[in-house]
Amino acid sequence: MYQSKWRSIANHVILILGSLFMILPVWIAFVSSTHTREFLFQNGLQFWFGGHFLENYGAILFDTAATKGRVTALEMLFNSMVLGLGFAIGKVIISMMAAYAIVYFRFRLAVPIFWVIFSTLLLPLEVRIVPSYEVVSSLGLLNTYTGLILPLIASATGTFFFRQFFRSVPDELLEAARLDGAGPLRFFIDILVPLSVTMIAAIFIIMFVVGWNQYLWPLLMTTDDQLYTIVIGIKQVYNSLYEGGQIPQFPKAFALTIMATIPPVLVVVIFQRMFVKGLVETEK
Amino acid sequence: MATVTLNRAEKTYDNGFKALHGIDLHIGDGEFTVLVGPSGCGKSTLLRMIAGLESITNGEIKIDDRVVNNVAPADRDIAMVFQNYALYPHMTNYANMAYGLKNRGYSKVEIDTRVRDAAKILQLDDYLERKPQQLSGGQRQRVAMGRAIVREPKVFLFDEPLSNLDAKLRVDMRLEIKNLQQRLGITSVYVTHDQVEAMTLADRLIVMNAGVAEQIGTPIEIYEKPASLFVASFIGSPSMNFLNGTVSDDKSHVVIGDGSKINLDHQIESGRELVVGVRPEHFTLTVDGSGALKARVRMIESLGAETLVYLEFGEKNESVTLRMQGTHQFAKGQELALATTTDLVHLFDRDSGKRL
Repeated sequence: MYQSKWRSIANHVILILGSLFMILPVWIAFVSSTHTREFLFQNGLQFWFGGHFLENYGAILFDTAATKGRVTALEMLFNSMVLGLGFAIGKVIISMMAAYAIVYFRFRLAVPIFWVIFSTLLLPLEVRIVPSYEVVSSLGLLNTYTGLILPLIASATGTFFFRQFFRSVPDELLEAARLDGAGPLRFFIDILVPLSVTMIAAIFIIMFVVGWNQYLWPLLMTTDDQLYTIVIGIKQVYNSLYEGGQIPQFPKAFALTIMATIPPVLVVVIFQRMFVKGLVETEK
Repeated sequence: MATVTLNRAEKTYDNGFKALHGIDLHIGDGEFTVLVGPSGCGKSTLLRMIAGLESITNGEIKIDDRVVNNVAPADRDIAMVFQNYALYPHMTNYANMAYGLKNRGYSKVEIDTRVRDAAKILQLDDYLERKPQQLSGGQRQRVAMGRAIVREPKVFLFDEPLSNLDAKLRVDMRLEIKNLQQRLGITSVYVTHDQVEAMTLADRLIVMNAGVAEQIGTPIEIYEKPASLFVASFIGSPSMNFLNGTVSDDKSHVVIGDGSKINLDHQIESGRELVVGVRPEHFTLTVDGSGALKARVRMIESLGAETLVYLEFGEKNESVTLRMQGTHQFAKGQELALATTTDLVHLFDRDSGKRL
């Protein structure tokens, strides 16, 4: 498409402004986290690096005192990672199997069951959070990873996407597999799962980020600091900023925030490549 | 090596649609049988019933002497080639061919020998490590056939395997399939809607229409003695000319349209109304003699080796087609006199459509 020089320049200006708008807050948080708290308190937010990167990040990662709790950022990162991965992997597995049953097996009420699952899309977690808490607590799963992950694992969105995808897989593949002596489980593992790699990657990305960013549920579920996720940790640190008449811990709060954003960004970057590659190459 | 026998095989779908009204069929050992018919005639259903992909409502299907009505597809010892190849896209061609053997617990060595042998036969040696989407349509179809061959099944089933290929490739693959089947001598059932494929491939042809086998016979039998109007119109291209006529008082000929005559050697009561069928290639031009069919040229198609002339005759402008060897020129509206010989004329009952 032909574009005049001026138009092209205007487009780029808009794009650059947009990028700055998105990136600048992250940049400011990042560079401000490398100053001492006294310097930041006196001079306000910074636009360039200070000299205390290792000191601040080291304290946050390994020293429980810096996060105002009995847990280090490293432990919270681990907790978040467990939640994010458990959430994403669990959802992929459960929703794939649910969709497999709905699409490939003829059983009574398959259609109504699907619509029941689908209609739960309308209800966010918050609607059932009290009963869910009740169930988990009476199962004795409070303050455990299982209790943190299990109640969130069923996914109407995932089931719906996999259902749509499976329905687009040609019937002949199933028939060919049947003639090749593959039973239901073989067909699922040997054929359907490899074909769904792109869908799995897509759902995994989305679910990992959603799981990582869970706030209300982990907050309710965990009373033990050892199980705090990093999202809760950030909140705790900001809460305690003005406690005790000390100079606020801004650099460390910023450092924690930056660290909380890194894993989801990595997951998106890594899996997006696979996702795009898969989209281009797969032919059903 | 096997025979396939169908006894009154019927299929009724859950929604009540009756796809097959009782098919009787015996396919001999090593025979190449082609099911041909228009779409919706039940030919694919029949094939899928033999494969076990569709259940059978009534009657029985036997492979050799074993009734397979309730046997799973994988245990029927058959292999099928699909129209859209149905190759597993994420597997290499080698893995595609090996998959069925692997599931049946063959040893790695055995699998390797079989796959490489099949690849040699199908000239796929160089493509085994590639994936299906890196191959052309013809090559993919060969992989699909390879997948069938490695199993050394009792019966090959083909479900319109050539209809996704372009015209030239289709002719090549047709020869290749015929060649392969003759070399391996495996009993085969082949479904197609293309009558040229049907005529060229078949040892025996089954013409199907609306869930019924209209005629079963060798291609030449069916061409020379079509059992009904449907078969006559379906086999042969361009299709047979049908002319409504009445048997003359002296039973020596049929009177058509505005008094043209077609001679008869059958004994049919005078005055009976019937349909006369003449293939386009069985008309000859005559010097305007009495009784010949006089028709006006409407359109000409020159194919080089032959010329198709579309004409119309009588007051109702009924159409008739003439096929001539070589190239010919006629003016539009020019009147031609067409004649034929008695042994090339087909007679059908006007009501039932059956051959007389």
